[in-house]
Amino acid sequence: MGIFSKLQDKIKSAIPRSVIRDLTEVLKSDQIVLDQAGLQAFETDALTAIQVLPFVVVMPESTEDVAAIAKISHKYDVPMVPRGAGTSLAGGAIPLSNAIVVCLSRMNKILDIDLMNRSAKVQAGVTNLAISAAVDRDGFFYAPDPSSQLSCTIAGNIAMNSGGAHCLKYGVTTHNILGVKLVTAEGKILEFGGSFLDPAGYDFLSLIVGSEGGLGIVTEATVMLRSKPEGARPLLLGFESHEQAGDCVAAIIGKGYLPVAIEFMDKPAIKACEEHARAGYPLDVEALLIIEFEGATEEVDASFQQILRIASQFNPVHKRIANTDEEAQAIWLGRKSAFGAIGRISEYLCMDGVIPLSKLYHVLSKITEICNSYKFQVSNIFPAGDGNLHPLILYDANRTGEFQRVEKCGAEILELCVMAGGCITGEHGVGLEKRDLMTLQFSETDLINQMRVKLLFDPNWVLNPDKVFPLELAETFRRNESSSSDEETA
Amino acid sequence: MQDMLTPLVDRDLKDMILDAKDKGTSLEILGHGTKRMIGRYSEKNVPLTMRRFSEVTLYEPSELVISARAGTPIAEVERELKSYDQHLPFEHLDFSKLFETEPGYGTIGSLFATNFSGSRRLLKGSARDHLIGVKAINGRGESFSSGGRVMKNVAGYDLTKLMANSWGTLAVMTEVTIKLLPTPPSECTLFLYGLEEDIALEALRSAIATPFEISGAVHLNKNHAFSCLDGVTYVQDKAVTAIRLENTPKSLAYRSEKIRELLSAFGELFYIDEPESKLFWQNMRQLAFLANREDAIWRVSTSPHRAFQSARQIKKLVDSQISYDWGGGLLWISTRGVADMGSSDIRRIIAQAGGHATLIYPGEDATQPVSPFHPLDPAHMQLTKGLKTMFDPAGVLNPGRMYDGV
Repeated sequence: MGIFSKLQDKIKSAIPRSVIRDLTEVLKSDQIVLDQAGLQAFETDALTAIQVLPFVVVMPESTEDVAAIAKISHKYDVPMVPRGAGTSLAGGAIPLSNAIVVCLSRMNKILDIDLMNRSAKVQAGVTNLAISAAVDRDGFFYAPDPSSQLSCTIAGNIAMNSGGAHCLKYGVTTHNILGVKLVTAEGKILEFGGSFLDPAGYDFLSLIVGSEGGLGIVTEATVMLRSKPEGARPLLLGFESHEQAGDCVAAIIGKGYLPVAIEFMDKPAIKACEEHARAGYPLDVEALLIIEFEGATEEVDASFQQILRIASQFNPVHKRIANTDEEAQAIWLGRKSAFGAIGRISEYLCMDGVIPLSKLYHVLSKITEICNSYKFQVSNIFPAGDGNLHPLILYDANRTGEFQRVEKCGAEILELCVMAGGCITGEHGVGLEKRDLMTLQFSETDLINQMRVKLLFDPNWVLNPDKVFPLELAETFRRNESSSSDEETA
Repeated sequence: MQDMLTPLVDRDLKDMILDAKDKGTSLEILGHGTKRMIGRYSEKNVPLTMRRFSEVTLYEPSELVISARAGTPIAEVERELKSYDQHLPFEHLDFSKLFETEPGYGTIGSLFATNFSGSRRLLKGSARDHLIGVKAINGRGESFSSGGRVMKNVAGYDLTKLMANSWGTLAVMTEVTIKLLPTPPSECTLFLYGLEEDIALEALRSAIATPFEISGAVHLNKNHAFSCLDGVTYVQDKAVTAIRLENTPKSLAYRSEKIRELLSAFGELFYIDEPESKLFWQNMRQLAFLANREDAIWRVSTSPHRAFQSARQIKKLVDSQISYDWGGGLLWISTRGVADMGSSDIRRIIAQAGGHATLIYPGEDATQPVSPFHPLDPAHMQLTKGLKTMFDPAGVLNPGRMYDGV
């Protein structure tokens, strides 16, 4: 029987009670969540508009637990949905009603800090910020810093290849992971990489990072640690137009300056942040840039002087330098509270498209046009150095049909990003949210080449099976692969 | 010698791949052939060069991005970048001195297919890390693309970085897109002479742990050092420990002074300014210290803090010279007069410490064939063969180049 028909059968049949029985044989009772109230805590992630009650949630405490769970999933052909802290904005951890949700939050130990190797080995459920906190006193940190870093796990970061405000200088997750331990769909435990650079052979790490839990469940990771800079301070620049701010960013980079972060905020975002956090942002500007440099006091001062010189061509109407740590914190306070500030005003859908920097002005105007046509307000806050836009489209969640409308509006924006030479997601991942938009960016052949990789790791398509790839395309692919392998067998 | 296939456009390449697939033959995928000496070679494969795929297709200095067709000479890409004070930050290795080939050759596609990053990899990442987009044709004759021209892109599986270090065995890249960095405005190097290896590695570790962004941290033994110091003053007939800083002149003055204070207990630090500093690192990138035809040459990636112990064990068992890059994370080992070039001992010791050893050059006296790439364990070999089958089921592209049956 081919893979596809087997899958069809599986979906039709209810999950056997023996799955639970087998789980109770390998896990303690407090590691299994079955009651309605308990399951409800796992019915969504940060894409709260979609909720699906899972069949069962398990809380492994070791790699061996995960392997035992995977073996049960394999035995009964039941899908698994891996979950870290459930902070995915793309719905990467949203359950399936017939799946075992494998929540890694109890696997939160830092196993080994090896400062001599500038690396740390951690269980995958450890939070992003916990790693930096553990090595802070020794002058090191873990570089990728997604906004959710206080709660998000390394497992989730690896799944989504998370970025953060400082990735302009330090790269994203894939640049900062040295090795992983992975449990396969069949329950085998494999290791890739280690505490050394550039592993031998094919770069399986590059496939695993960003695979959204589709290739295996990462249970441990060896991450790269970096030396902390002597200091870091931002500079605030306000402009009368998006165009001036965008051109200023391009000029800074083009002239050879690489700040550690460049954040862009438009007027609605500035207003919301200022009302919420009282960071002292100017309210009479159309665009604000927060530009941060690292180094000793004199070095940062020197960089600020250069940036002010470059910026002067673009007529900034507001300039503010952080001279002390307190002033630096005040500038960042507004930015860091942005999503919360806007969330106070309204529900929003946060997009994650990326565009070439040279198209910034054009794309921002188009985004406003698109949102106006749907009568949605939009607010833009994003790291401008890498062109990763995060338009927040405000909508009324209580109105019937609004979520479908806002999704449509978002899809138009992502299509615009792709047309401009960019992509549909820069750091949030595809998940459920953008699964059906993958064809905007990729041809069918592109996606088939990706799906073949999944098929290699997950022949029965049980790992987070409804994410990343458009369902219809994935089913056709599996049907074709199945019939061609049937032919070969015949 | 078989006639070389020379496709000009994607259509040609696709036809050649499909033709080979139909006939049951296989292709040797080449750029300029500058790294043909490395890895396994099969006479059965019909050579195909990508050298006519030569064009810079996009360069946006303000976005730090360049795209080029895969056969574009690296030298041409670098010429373009130079006019905007930008560069390929991973300091890719240049094997021309080692293999006595004409310098300045090599294609941009082969650079990524082999992923040989140099000293700056320590701070700025590998060639693989800077590859953000590819267009390629796999062994089924399918054109596909992955990534793009923006530096943040997490849509779908990352087939882009998978192409790095795949040695043309999965797909033939037709175009690559690269993330660039501004060329640092100035550089300097601090030298320490005559340190014992373990002390030298300690000095490098101390320097790297500072916030001063060390972009080169090497220790060359006395014999290796000599050839890298060509044109550099303060030459002493001793081992050299070198620490590079790159930044504005003002920062260099400040940072080098801080490092000097920190490392004063290790001995006198000599300040090497440009152009000598640049010359030293160019010699490193060109592997000047390894360029003699007699020795076998190994490139070993391992855990920096186990490097010294591993090196000591290797030297006990194999007649060898060892130098260190990446602050100890990369060992360059030259061996002489050993039947298997030291393969079994080196690989056993490195496997215990964590890491892998690649035989770059077997030396003139090589008698016994040795696998150039570190053998994989059965589970990884199974996945490797599985991946090969997904991309190139008929084994058309560089079969056997990396491993038997891949």
